Amino acid sequence: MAVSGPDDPSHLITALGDDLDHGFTALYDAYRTPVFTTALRATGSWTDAEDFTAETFLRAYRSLISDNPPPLDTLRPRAWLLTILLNTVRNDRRTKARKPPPTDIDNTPERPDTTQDPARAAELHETNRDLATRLATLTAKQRDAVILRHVLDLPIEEIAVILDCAEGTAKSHISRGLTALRKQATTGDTPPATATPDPAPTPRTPPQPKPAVTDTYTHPTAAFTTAVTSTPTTSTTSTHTISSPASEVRHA
Amino acid sequence: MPDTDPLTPDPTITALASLSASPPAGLIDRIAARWTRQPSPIGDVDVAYTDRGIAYLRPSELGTLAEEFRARFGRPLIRTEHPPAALTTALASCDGTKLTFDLTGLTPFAVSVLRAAQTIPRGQIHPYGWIAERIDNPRAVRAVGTALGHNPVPLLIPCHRVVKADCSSGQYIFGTDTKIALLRHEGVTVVS
Repeated sequence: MAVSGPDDPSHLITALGDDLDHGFTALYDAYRTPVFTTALRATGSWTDAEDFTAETFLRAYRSLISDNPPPLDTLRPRAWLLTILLNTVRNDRRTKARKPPPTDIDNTPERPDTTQDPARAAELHETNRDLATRLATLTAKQRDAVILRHVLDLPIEEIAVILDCAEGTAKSHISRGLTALRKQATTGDTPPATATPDPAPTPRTPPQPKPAVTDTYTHPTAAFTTAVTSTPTTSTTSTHTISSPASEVRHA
Repeated sequence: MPDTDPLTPDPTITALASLSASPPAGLIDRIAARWTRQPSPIGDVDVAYTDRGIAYLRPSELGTLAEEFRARFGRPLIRTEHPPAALTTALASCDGTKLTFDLTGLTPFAVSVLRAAQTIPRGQIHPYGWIAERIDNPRAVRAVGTALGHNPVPLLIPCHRVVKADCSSGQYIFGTDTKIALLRHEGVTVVS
């Protein structure tokens, strides 16, 4: 099932103009799945996908509050967010280009869908893992184009905007990428991801800065666990649990 | 190059369309922060917190929390009616030792000053020089005052319990009168 389709962001643009912060959470709800899906299929890593998705939305928000924000009246949020994401991924790859080759993409497990028949879910799980592995063997441009067209179901015109190329060039990337994927499926030959010019990166450190005083942190949906050592001579250790507010910001 | 129509359904395209995935529910907490309005000894205060801990506190009457938080953290701020339970207790007693804090953006020196101030219990005061000694930087008394003056979470990190060497109140981020009133509320009498 593709995750996108025709994009009508008018209500989101209105919400951003009325109240930037609430509007932005609505923007997140509207586009978190295409952004995360693209990040996951472009990197081959769930951890990286979470990091890149968070970083993409933070960069977008900081752009909106900057001295030179994108004009809301002409903003195309989905294309804008996906452009930020792919630029971020591309820059991260360049940074890591001088580092040792990444781990085998097979080490990145597909998360099975538990909502359907177990046999069907297992079959789909295996198919997805195989296809994700083959996607990782494409060049970055082919992979991005194929993801945008056939995983997200975006129109060619929007893909050309995101990839900053002519529509014909976008079509060419898609066609060449599909041809390579079909060839691999026919021959059953899946080259190792490490053989590609821009393979999936290794697990990375989350881009968020470390807090200065928080020594131990577990996600707020579980608990805050605090161990605050206040001075060299005395210490106070305590544990505190707070409820998660995550569900409160859903404004789908 | 054989030209394949991308709109023609085939097994590869069908499989690609099933590769969508949703992010974990908690991912929004790495992007947006929360804020809440709570009572405190100095009246209602607005408190912002991130996934890492309490991040910012300002008196509600100032109405500056959102603007200052946005400038410093660059993150959306969403109001919540369900703040951490321990926050209410901590505000009533000006004791944040059971909370975690997100002090992102502060210098290591400022963080060490705030950590030292956090050790001063209710009913006690210490001079700025005591903090400077505590952080092994005894000559940095004036810098300690500056760091305390930029405390992003007053009350919860009790910078009001740090006074001048002659036991006069010294300055306070919310004004000297507020500092004296807070200390009196905690059973400590100082002069302005």
